[in-house]
Amino acid sequence: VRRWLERLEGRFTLAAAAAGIVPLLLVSAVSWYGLSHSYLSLAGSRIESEASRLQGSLDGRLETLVGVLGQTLDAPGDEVWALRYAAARLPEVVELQVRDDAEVLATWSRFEVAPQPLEPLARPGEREVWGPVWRDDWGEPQLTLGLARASGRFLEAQLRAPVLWDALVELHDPTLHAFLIDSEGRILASSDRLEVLRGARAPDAVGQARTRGIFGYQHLGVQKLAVVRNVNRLNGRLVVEAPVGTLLAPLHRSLLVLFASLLLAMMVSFWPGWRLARSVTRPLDELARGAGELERGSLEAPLAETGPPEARSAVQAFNRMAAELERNRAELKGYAQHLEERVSERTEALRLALERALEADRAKTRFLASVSHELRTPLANIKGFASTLLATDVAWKPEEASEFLRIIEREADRMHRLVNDLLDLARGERGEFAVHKRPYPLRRLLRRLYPRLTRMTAGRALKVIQPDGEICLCLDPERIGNVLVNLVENATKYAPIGTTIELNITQAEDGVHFVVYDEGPGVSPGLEDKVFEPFYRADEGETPGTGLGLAIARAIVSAHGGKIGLNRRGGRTAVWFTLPKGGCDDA
Amino acid sequence: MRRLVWLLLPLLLAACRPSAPPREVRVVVSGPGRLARAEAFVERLEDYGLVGVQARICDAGGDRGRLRECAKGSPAIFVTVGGVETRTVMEAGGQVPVVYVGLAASLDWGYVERLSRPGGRTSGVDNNYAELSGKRLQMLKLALPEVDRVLVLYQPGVVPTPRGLDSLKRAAALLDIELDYFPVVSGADIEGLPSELPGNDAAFLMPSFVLENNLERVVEIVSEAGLPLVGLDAAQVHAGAFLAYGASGAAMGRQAARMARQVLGGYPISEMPVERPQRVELAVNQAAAKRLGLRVDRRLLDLADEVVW
Repeated sequence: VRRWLERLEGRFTLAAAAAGIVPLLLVSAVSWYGLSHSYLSLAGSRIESEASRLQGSLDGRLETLVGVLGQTLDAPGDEVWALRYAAARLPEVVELQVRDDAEVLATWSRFEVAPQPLEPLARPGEREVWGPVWRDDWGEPQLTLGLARASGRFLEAQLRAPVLWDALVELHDPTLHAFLIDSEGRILASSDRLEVLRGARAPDAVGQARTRGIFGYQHLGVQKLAVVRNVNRLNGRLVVEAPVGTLLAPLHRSLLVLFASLLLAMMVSFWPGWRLARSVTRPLDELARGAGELERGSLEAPLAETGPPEARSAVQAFNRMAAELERNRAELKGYAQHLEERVSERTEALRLALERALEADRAKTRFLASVSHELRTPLANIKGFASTLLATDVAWKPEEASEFLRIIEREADRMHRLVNDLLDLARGERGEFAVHKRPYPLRRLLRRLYPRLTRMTAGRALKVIQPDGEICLCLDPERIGNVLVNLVENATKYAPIGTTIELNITQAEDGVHFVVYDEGPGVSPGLEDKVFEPFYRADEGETPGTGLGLAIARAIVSAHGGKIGLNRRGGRTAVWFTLPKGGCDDA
Repeated sequence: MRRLVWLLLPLLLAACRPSAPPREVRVVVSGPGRLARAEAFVERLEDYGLVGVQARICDAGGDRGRLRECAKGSPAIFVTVGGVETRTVMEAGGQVPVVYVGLAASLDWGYVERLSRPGGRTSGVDNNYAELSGKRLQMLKLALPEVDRVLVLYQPGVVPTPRGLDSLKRAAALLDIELDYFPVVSGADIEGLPSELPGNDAAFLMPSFVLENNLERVVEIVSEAGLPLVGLDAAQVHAGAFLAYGASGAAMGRQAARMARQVLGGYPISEMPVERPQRVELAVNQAAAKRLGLRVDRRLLDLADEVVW
C-alpha cells in the first residue's frame, strides 16, 4: 500500500481523495441515520396498521362466531339442522353440540359421521366461556367455547384456531410476525405455527408492554419493534412485531448500493482527477528539480514544458531565466579568464620594461664609463706629450718634437672620431641619422674601399666574393663604406695572423647580402644581440676599440631599410647585413 | 495505475455480474384432474411476490413417463398435487423438500412420521379425502334420503383406499346403506362400469388418480345410467358429479403456498406439521339433479357452500 501511495505522487490527489471520502462518509452516515429513522417510523406505522387490522379481524370474527352460535342456541326447532347451518356458516367449527343440564340434545361434526360428545364447558350464569387451547393429533390448536342461556340450554363448540385466525396465520407481509398470547404469556396462535407447537412463551417485555403506540425491545440479541393490542374476549393480547434489522434490510441494501456507487464513481473520477493534479504538480516538481540543479551549478537540460498553460508558462519563464543565467555565467567565466591572461601579459610587459630600464641604466653607466675612459686616454696622451714639449729643462730635438706632435695630433684625431661616433650614435637612436642615399654601383664601392681594407687586414688574407654583373644600390657610399670597414676591422682584430677574412656579397630576391667571415674565436653563444649595443665589448677591452662600431653600423643599415646580425657557423663568426635592392631606376 | 485498475475491476465485475438464477418451485401434476389445485397454488405463491422465486407447473398429462421426467432435477421445492405425484417424486430420490397439496392418508404413505412433526423431507396439506369418505356418504343421505345402495368406485393398491373404505363402511353401517364395490386399476377398467351400475342408487368415487384423470368418462357412464355420482370436491361437481364434500382445491393450494413460502424462507420441512384443509366445502350440482330427475332436500341446498345450477 505504501508503494502504491508513493506512486500516487501528487499530494493534491491524496488531499482531494480524502476531501472526497470524508464528506461521502458524512453524507452516508447522515443519510443512513435520517433514512433509517424515517424508514423505521414508516415501518412502525405499517406494524400498527397491521396490528389494528388483525385486531379488528379477530374481534370481528369472534363477534360473528359468538353471534352465530348464540343464534343457533336460541333458535327453536330441529337442533341438528341448526347446528348444521351454523357449521356451514362457520368454517372454523369442528364440532358443535347443544345440550341441557340432563343430556346432549344434538351434535354435528365437520369430519365425523357420529362424533363423540364434547366435554361440558358452558356454565349457568356465564353466557360465554372460553376453554384452554389444546392441540389435536394433527398438531392443530383447538379452541373450545361454551355458551349458556338462562333457559338451561348450553352450546359447546370445538373450533380450529388456524381457521379462526386465518387472518393472523395468513399474514401477507413476510417481514412481520404476529401472535396471540393468553394472560400468562403463552402463545395461542402465531403466524409461525412452530411457535405454537413448541409451546413457546412471549418475552416478558411484550406481556408487560403498553397497548398504545409502538415500542422497541430486545430479545435473544435481536432488536425488534412491536405493537400490542388487547383481545378482550379471549383475555389475550395480539402482538405484531418485526426485527429492526429485517425492516431496515431493504434500506441497507439501497444505501449500500448507493454508497458503493458513489465510491465507485469517486474511484473512477479519481483517475482524471489524478491526471489533472499531476499535470499541475509535475511542472512544480520539475521547477523544484530545476531550481536544485541551478543551485548546485547549472541546469543540465531545459525543463519539460507540460501541463496546463499556466504551468507551461511558468516552466518556460524558468527555462528562459536559466538560459540567461547560464549565458551570464559563461561570460563572467570567460571575462575572468581573459582578465587573468591580460594581467599576466601586463605583468610580463612590466617585467620586461623594468628589465629594459635597468639594462638601459646599466648601459648608461657603462656608456658614461666607456666615454670617460675613451676620452681620458687620448687626453692624457695629449696632455703628457704637450707638457713634455713645453718642459723648459729639456731641449728636444726637432725630430723628437715632431714625433710628440704627431702623437698629439693622432690622439686628437682619435678624440675627434670618438666624438663623431657618439654624435652619429645619438642621431641614430633618435632616428635622425643623416644618410645621403644615391644610386651607387656596388663594384665601384668595393673598388674604392679595397685598398683600405687590404691595409687594415695586414698579415691576414682578404677574400672578396661578389656576384657577376653590376649591382646598383641606393645607398650612402660613405656610410655603407664605414660599415664595411668597421666589420672588416672587427674581423681583423680577432682573426689570427695568416688566416683569411672573407667578404661575401650575394644577391637575393629581397636584397643584397653582405657577410664577413673570419676565423677568430667568435662571439660566445647568447651574445649575438648584445654586441650591437653601444660600448659593449665581448672581450672586455682586451682588443682596441670604442665598442661603438657595431652599434653605429646597425644605425646606418637601419637608416638604409636593411637588417644586420651575427651568426655562428661551424665555430666561425659571420657578421652580415642586407640592403634592399632597387632605387637605381630613377637615377 | 495498473494496480488501480486491478482494484477497480472486481467492483466493476461485481456490479456487472448477472443476477442469480431464480429458485424454481416445480409443481408436479399427473393429469388434468388435479390441475386446478396446482394453479391455485401457483396463483397464491405469486401473490406473495417472492423475489427470485419462479413457480412452474410440470403437467404429465396422464403419462407416467412424463411424470417421472417431472420428478427429475433439483428445484428449490417440489410441490405435488396428489399421491401418485408425491410417490413419484419421493422415489426419484434426492433431498429436495416436497410440499404436497392434497395428499390423502398422509400417515399411510410412510413419508411422514407424525402429523405434527413429519421428520422427513415431506409435508403439506392432507386433503382428508379418506377420512371424509363417510361424511360424504352422510351428505348423500341428507340430500337424497331414499338412497339405500351405493356403488363404490375405488382403485385397489392405492394407499388411501383402505382408510377411505374403512371410513365409508362405518358410515354406511350407521346410515343403513348397502355398499357395492367396483375396482378400477386402469382407465380401461372404467368401460366395465355400466354393467355394474344397475341396482344401485348412486355411484361413489374414492380417491384415485385413475378415476380423477378419467372423471369425464366416469361422469358420462354414471349419468347415462341415471344415477347421481358423489365426487371428492367441488371441482368434480363442476365436472358433472352430483355432490361433493371435501377440501377445496383452491384453499389447499393457498395453504400449501404458505407452507412453501415458509420452506423457501428457511423453515425445516421436517418440523413443519401436516395441515388439514382450511376449508371443507359442500357442493351440489342441482343441474345434474334435475337432469337425473332427483329431488334434493332443500335444507341440504341451504347447507351447501356451492350449488351448481
